[in-house]
This record gives sequence, C-alpha cells and structure tokens, in this order.
Amino acid sequence: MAKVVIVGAGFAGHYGALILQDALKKIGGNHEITVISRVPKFTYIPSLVWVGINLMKAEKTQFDLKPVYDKLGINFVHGKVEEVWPDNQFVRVEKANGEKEDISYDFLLMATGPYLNFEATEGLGPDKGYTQSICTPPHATEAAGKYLELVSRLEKGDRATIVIGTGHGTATCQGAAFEYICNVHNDLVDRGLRDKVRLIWLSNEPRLGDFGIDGLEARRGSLIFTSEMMAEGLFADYGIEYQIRTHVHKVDDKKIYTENLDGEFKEIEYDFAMLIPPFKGQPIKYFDKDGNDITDKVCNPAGFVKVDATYGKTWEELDGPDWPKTYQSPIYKNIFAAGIAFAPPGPLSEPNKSPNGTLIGPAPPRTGYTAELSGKAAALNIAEMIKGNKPTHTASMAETPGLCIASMKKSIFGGEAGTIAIYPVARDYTKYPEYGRDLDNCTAEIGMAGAWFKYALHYAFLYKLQAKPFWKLIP
Amino acid sequence: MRHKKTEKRPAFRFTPQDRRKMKSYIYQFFRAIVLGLKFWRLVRKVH
Repeated sequence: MAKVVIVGAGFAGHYGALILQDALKKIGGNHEITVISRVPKFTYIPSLVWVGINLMKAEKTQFDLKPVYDKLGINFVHGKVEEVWPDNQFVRVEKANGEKEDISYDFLLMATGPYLNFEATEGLGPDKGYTQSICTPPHATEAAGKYLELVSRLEKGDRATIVIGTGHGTATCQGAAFEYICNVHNDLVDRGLRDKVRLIWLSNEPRLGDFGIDGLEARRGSLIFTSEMMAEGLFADYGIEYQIRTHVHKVDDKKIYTENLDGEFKEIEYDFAMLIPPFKGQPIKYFDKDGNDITDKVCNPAGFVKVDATYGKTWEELDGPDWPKTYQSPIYKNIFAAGIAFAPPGPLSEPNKSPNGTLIGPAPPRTGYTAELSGKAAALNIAEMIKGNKPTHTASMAETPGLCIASMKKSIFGGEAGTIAIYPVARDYTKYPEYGRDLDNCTAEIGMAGAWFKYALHYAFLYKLQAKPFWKLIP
Repeated sequence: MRHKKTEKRPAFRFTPQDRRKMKSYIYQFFRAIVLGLKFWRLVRKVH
C-alpha cells in the first residue's frame, strides 16, 4: 500500500488527485491519497476577472472539495503545510481548527500555488496597502466593491484615473491584468462612463503583448501577426494609455511610484488601481533527518521546488530541452512539484535591468492549462513509481501548448475575447530555429468566438473538476 | 539560442474590416469551428 500526499488543490493539485485516483484504481491495491489544502474550495481562477468587476459572484467560480473527494475515496485535510521532512517522509500540517498533525507519505506532490508577495512593494495589495488584486476570490470581491464605489462617484460627475497591470518588476500573470483592463473598459462603455476615465496599463513587460510568455507570433495570411500588434491595436481602439518596462517600487493612497528600464523615476496619480503582485513559493520549510533546514537545497531562492530542469543558464542560453519534463525532484525521487510550485529554469520573457540595477522582467506564468498538464504528468509518474517503474510521463512547457482565452467583454451576444494558442509555451530554438515555436499551431485572434469559448471553458472545467459523469472525456 | 527583438515597424491598427469581422455572428460562428478544431488538435497532442 502506498500513501500519496498532495499539497494544494488548484489546477495542478486537484486535477493531479483526480488523475492519480483514476490511475491507482487501474493498478489495484489499497493505496491512499490525501489532499491537503489551505482552502476548502476549488476556485476556477480564470473567471475571477469577471468577479473583479461584479459581472460574476465569487461562488460561481468555486465548489467544495470535500464532497468530490468523498465520492472518489480521497482523504481531504483542510489545513496548511508548514514543514516537510523528506528523510522521515512526513509533512507537518496546521489544520483549520488549529491542531497540528504529522501526515506520513511514500510519495509527495507539491502543488501549493503561489504566495502573493505584496510585501515586495511598499503599499501594494488590498490587505496592508492601497491597491486591489483579483488573485483570490476575497480579493476579487473586494476589488469589485471598490470598483463599484468608483462607478458611483463617476455617475455623480467625477473624473478618475484607473491603473491596471503589475505591481513589481518581477511580477507575472500579465494576462489576467490584461483581461481585467479590457473588461473594465467595456463595462465603463456600457455604463456610459468611459469618457470620464483615464485608463492606464502599467506593466513590467519588455514589449506590449509580452504577457510573460515572450509574446507570440501567428500567421495571418502572408503577415506574421504578433501579440504586440494585437495589444497595440486593441489599446488604440479602447483608448488605453500604456507604460511598459516599468517596476513599481511604492504605492501610497494617491500615487504609484515607478522606475522604468531607462532608469527614470515617475509618479502616477490614481483613483483605483489593480496591480498583480509578484509570486514566491509558499513559506514551507524542509528539514533533514537531523532537523537541519534544507529548504535552500530543495527549493530555489524564491521558494519554488527544484525539479528535473537545467538550472543556472542565462535567458539567452536557455532552450526547450532545459525545461522540466517529469517534475521529479532531483534530490528526493519521491517528491514531485507541479503548477506554480515548481521552480522554472528561468524566465520566458527577456529580463532586463535598469541603470540603477533594478531587475525588470516578468517571471514565467504557469497557471491554468500548463499547471493542469504538469499536475497530470506528476500524478501519472507517481503511479508509475508505485508500479515499480521509472517516471516516463512528461509535460515539458517546451513540448506542450499554451491555450488561453483572454476575456475582453463578458457577453454571449456582443462579447469579445482574444483566442490565443501557442505551441510550445517555452520557445525551443533547437526544434523551431526561426521563432522557437511552430507557427502553424499558434493563434492570436480577437472576436466574439473567444467570448463563447470563455463561457464554454468556465462550465466545462468546473464540470470536469467536480468529477461528474464522463469527466475524463473533457481534456 | 534566443534572439532579442529589435525590429521597428509602424504602429498596428485594426482596420474597419477587422472590427466588422470581430462582431459578425456568421463570421465568428465559422471562426469558432476553425479555432475549436485547432484547440482540439493541440489538446490531443498532450492528452
């Protein structure tokens, strides 16, 4: 009998649990899966952009995990993992009721998601700062409340500046902020208030439309259409100003203080700001059998778990084969890490430094479909090891597609979204020397079709991840 | 080996025809089929 512990129940952890339970059922034997999560619900994060402007309630993006796990025979622990003891093979958990418990494992899948590092920028974030976030359901709900307060001021005749983007030079998830600014624009148009608002895109991207994935190119007839052109055309149509290549170093109740790649320090006065924070690993400590802290050995400096990637290369040197494939820890072979929890070998986007030495470059995003695929590969590899085989299942970001629907306006009739596909996510210049990607499999297109896809994906994913009948048919 | 992107080009703007296509139900219906098949083909590569 093997005991598998999965830490985290987001795209990688929860989907990994479903896949592993299915694989272990086929193997047979009395194996045990335990999922430990800080929150008792699964959240479909891509729809939080709608929650952030009150177009959807947070509950519509969530479901309770326990009934799903009870149905499948998976144990669920509502709590926070504080320590991992890889030599002794147990994790120390602080449960929601405050009790501490050591849970032993034979295999461990770390899929913790990110720690939202608002502390990296003074005054950032809704809890101890002045800006909003749409990264969690409570944050998105609070952002919606503040946005509606602003809307009522606009209705009384006020004018306002709204700033949306990233709140630090190394932040990621530009795509979510991009969706949010487009939805805010269209919502203000629908309310007849757009002319009262100065809308500013503030981001750390080296180029517009970079999205932390080094942008994308797609064939459009004889033209190579890029995400930079898409964002440029869209912002011109929407009347959105933009400041890119920018780090935010401080926020107060009136101004955002920035530094750009030319070394210039600027200030932006604002009335409402939604800035995505940088991510780091969850604050989990790793100890060896003698009680020595080995977190630095298992994780990278940001706290993400090191896996089978080639670390230490520069951005220019980094290529497809350097990205992790099996998501197995090189130090402890029974530990895997997936989703945002694994340490990437480097950024996808070009990192730069200002003349003052400030690093300004997006970290690689690993959300949604990429997280799911890595969680699936790690789960199947654990099943292989339980059978006595070596891990053979791979989901390298240099071998898997990135699929994204960037919502711009939520509506079945008259909605708008960008339909974006890239293959592979991490450029592989060995395989595709010209662009690092297979352009025949890349798409960037704006239209109503994307808005239909966005709705379809919302309901399809929530259906699949509740393990409802025929869930395995939904990829 | 990566290449730094340094090319200069005129600012891109969507044409009135592009905008009409984005909002045309018939055009978008057919694009949904084409894009759906494209997504499906990519998804089948990894599932």
